[in-house]
Amino acid sequence: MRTINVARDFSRFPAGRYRRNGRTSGEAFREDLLSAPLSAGETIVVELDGTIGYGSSFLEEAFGGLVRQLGIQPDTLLKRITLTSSDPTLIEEIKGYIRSTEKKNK
Amino acid sequence: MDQCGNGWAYVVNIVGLVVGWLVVHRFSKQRDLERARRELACSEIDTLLELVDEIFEAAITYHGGSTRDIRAERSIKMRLQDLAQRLSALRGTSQGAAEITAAQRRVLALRTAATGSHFEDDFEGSSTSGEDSIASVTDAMLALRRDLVCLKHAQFP
Repeated sequence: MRTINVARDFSRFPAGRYRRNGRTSGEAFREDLLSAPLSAGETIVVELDGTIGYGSSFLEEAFGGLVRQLGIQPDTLLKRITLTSSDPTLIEEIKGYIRSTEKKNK
Repeated sequence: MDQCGNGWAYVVNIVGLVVGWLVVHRFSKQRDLERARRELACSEIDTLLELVDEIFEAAITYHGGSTRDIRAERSIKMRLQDLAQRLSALRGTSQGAAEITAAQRRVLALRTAATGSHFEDDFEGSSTSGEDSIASVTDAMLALRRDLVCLKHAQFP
């Protein structure tokens, strides 16, 4: 199991959806840190505390984008990702994006 | 014999006084603690309401703006995070668990509305999507304000 701390391993200022919106975008986070271990079948823990906050566009692209990029079922993805945060609404929001991406794909 | 009876009566009176004082003291302490808890919760809810107003002002200024403002983006995200964490922490002192859960859903909706579409991208000038964002932020803000007021009322069952 790999632990990814967003603030430590990526940025304290995650921002934007696509790489063209900045170096710390959701697309960059997904492609640089999340995709490889998940593609290799690893289970990951994502620690969300420590940043200045998250925008929904970043979260949707980083986590909802995993379903689109890897083509795996949301339920399977949710079993392989553990999210930790002092803000329970953040976890709920991310899970919502992962689940709703399935609906878009249907 | 009379002296013995008087002595017992005296002891019973004293014991009655002490027990009565203890009972009154205990209820009085409970009442004071409850009042302090209620004041703390209400004060914190008032702070949350102010924070919601600040987020609303910042979000409509941002979405109505003509260029991307990174400083405003960070400020909005920080305030939203502060709002969510403070609301979560209220579970320790506040009554109304159902009202807190409802308000947390509204915070999620406000974050989605304020930072979902057309956020942190290089938009050019006010647009229809900017107006849509302002409308969504307004709806989410009003709903959250209403739920926070309900939470405040829940402190007075």
